[in-house]
Amino acid sequence: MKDLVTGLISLIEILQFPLGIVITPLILRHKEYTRWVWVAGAAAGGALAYLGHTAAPIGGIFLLMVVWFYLLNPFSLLQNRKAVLGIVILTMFIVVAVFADQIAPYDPQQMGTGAPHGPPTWEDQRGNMHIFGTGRTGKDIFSQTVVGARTSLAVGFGAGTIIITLCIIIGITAGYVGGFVDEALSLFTNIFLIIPGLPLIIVVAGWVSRPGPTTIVLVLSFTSWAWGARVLRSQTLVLRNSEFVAAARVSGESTWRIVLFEILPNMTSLVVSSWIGAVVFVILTEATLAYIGLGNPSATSWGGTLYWARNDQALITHAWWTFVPPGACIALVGLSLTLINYGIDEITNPRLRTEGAKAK
Amino acid sequence: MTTASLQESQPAPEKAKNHWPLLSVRNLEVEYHIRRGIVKAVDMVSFEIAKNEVFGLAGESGCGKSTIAHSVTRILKPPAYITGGEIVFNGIDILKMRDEQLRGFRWEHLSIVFQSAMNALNPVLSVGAQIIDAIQAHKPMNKRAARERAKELLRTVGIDVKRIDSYPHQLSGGMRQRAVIAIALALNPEMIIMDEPTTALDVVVQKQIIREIQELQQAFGFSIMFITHDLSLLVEISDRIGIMYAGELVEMAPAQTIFGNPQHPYTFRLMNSFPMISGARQELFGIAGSPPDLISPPPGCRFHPRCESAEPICRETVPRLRQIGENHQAACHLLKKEGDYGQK
Amino acid sequence: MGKNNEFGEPILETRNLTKHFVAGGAFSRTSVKAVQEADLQLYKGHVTALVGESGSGKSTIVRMLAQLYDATDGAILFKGLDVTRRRDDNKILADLCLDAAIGISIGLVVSFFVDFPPLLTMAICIVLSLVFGYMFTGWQNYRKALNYRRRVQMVFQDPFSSLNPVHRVRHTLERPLKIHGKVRGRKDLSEKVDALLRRVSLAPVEEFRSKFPHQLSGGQRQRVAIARALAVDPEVILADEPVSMLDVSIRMGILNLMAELRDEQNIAFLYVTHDLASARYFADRILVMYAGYIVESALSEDLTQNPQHPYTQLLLSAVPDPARGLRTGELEAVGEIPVITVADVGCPFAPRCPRVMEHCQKAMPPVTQLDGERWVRCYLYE
Repeated sequence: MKDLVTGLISLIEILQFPLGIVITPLILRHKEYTRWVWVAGAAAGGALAYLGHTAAPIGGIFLLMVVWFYLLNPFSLLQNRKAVLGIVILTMFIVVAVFADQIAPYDPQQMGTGAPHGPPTWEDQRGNMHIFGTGRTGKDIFSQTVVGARTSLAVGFGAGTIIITLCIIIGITAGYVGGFVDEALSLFTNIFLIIPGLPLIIVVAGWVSRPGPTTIVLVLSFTSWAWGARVLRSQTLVLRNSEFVAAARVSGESTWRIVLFEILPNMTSLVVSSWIGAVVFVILTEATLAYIGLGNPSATSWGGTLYWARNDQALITHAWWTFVPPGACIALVGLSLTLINYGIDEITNPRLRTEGAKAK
Repeated sequence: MTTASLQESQPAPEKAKNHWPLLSVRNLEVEYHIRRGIVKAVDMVSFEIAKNEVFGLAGESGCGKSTIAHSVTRILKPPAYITGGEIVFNGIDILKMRDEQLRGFRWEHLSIVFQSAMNALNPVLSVGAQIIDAIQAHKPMNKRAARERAKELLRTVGIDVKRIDSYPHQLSGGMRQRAVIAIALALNPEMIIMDEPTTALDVVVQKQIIREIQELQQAFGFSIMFITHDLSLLVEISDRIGIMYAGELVEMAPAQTIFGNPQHPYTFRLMNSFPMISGARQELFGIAGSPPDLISPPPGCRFHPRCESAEPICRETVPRLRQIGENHQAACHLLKKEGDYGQK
Repeated sequence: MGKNNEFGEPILETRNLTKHFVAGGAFSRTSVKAVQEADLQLYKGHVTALVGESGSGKSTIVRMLAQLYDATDGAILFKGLDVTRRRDDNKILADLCLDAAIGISIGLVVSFFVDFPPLLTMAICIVLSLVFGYMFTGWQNYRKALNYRRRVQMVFQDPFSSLNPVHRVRHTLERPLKIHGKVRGRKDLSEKVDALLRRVSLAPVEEFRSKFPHQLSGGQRQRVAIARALAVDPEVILADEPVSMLDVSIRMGILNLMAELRDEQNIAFLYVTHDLASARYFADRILVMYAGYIVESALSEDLTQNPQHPYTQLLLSAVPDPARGLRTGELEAVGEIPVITVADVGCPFAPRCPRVMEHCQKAMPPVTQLDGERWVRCYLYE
């Protein structure tokens, strides 16, 4: 059984990139720019393969693009200042994550690149540059931060996307179909809502033989979808009674088409803000898990850096540079996502707009 | 902006009942400033309402009638601004009033029944509490007196006094409407503005409410500015009617004159859009096209793109309201004085 | 405004149609009788109006005719065929058992081959079988309904909420064409959409094709809604208060458009409204509804000029009629439409009726056929 799960996880890892390439055009197939999305995705994937990463971040970013182009008008987003600021910050991090290997001057796990707990300096005794200083074993903090970005963002986007997919499938089905199916799915949702997430994550993470980032992604996804599902279900209940849904039924639309193409597009801001909320939650939780020592200690991540900082008595030794950079990065990513969320809210709900007065 | 607009001098005040205009609106202009531009919602509108008179203001959605109501009661909020004209109530210039004066003025002299009044009732307060609220907000009195007054008002509008502590959801649609009217009557105003008070009600209840409003008006002698799009209803209850189109007043005359002898092409076509329940059956056509965009209205007469009798002058010059018959004013270039336009 | 008086066979009719809604919480459930024993007929090339105030049940009947609600009792017949949607609890139970049995059998077979604990396998197989069975039934019902929807279409009351705000006009019109297989290829689709737009006078078509609903006026949206209904070439159009939410000057345009469609394509119209005057203008026959019952049925001219049922008389006296002169008209009855529950018997209008008699409260009057095309449900005429 354990092997089955482990095997499944490996399979998912391998399939992420191709799945993303295949699913996206299916959903976007009626749009004029589908071909461009194909090309962009393939190019990005190829570039990343060339640079030697796993394709995990690609899955998440691909689906991000799907969400963006399908549900929103991407160009209106760029006119909103908050959203632009958020996008700029996030893009910076994404670029750093993608080109981490090129940017990081040292191997993040290599010990002894500099003096133990060396402060940030342009040039230390050996002539090496350590912008963020070094940890107790001499590992370069800057490299750790840069490479850690990749893990955190990949886990964040990946898990966030899986969570939102589960929320959509379960929440909207329960809301639209109603009756017994709704009761059953709601019961299922409530069970997962009650189960305490962190202990469950810890138990499952301990049980699976290789607690790598993908495991964390899957574990987080399957334990944190319940809240979003409830929210989407309520909104679906409201939309189900609208006249355009009745009109679609009278026209002869099938149920799944009504759910996907009539109801879902009207829940844009809710879905996207749930998605962003999920991503933020996952990034923080992943950092937490690594901080309390549940991640793979030899994997590089922001949480891992914080773990070592605590382990090495950073506060007592006044080595602030060992925990400030990763902490600040987590905060900045969260901030950027929240800004984008505000921007989307303002676009889809005109009443929230603060830019320009609204007519009566 | 219009090219040449004739600044016609105002027509002599209507010789309405009692000869003294209770409310006098002159050259009112209201603009909405939105991102797309400036919407001229009310453009040089002038009319008067006398004591004890029922004045009907008719027009379709977007014509500016609600805006006028809100201007007169000074409850317009940005981005709407009153940019011109004067409003005089009983000799007092309303536009110059400050907030404290307005509070004393509102409700005691002039009150308003809002559109969709049923939804304007606070669902978590009893109707009695809301009547008392209105009283205390404008003319505070001690609690017992206020409650007595509330009971008296409920009796007046025909609601069982025992329901003073009922909540809006416990009342039927008609009763809620009566409750709102009771609130408007609280301080015995001289004039009540009613903005689509019966639109959401069924026709039988509507008839009852209208009947009761008429009785109240006879008993208490207040004037009414009755705003609605239902012209047939207006003809039944108004003394005089003003027809609005795209922010302008295009015709004003006693009710039966509007019904029997509409002169302005818009009024004429509008009357022709109401199917009649009695009388001969005719072909009706409505009016082709749609109301203009008020950010850049058509030059000259705003109705000319939809008017079959449009002439070149209609495209160039804005027609202003002028006398075309005894007690009959219209804003149209094609009408000669003592008009002769239109066959019925 | 009708054609000839020879109605022929009804294309869509209801017999004794009844709908009860279950209301109330866990402790005080009551049954609200929304529609009772309704008999109505729609004929090709004719307009039948269903007039009533809010709470009369007219919207419920329309939704039952559009197969959005199932019927508690009675039948809907389309060209003689019973197309009523009913909730058959027995069939549901039978299907459930069948699916469970299939799940168990498959589970037994599979557990021989797979290493899993047998109970788990069985459970998974049963669940999957139930899910697929449910989806299969849903698909079957969908195919049956599709046939009906190809012939009976609906126009809704609120022009804004009946069009999906995220779809352009083009998409809204393409969907019914595609669903019912009425097009061959993209060019044909595009031409048909343009033809529909032209038919409802939304020109220039290039401009209207790509608009969103919020960019259109109320009258234009309603024209799009009518175009959507026309896309499938229906034989019946159910119009649920199609002009109530439109400006007065626009209403006539829409009603005239529907009259043209009736004449050109011989479509049968059901025109639901609370406005008797427009019903008189547009419809050939009027049915008056009160508290779930159809209380009077007559040709529109007869009904409006010579009403028989006391409620119809009340309605007519309440309609604003400027020609009658100012401030006239006595209202003989006051009050509002009650909500009828299972416990109520007798004629629902009795509490308000100025000519109520002893036995009005005891039982609902039966249908009394008056001359020719008229009938009423009132003891005064029995």
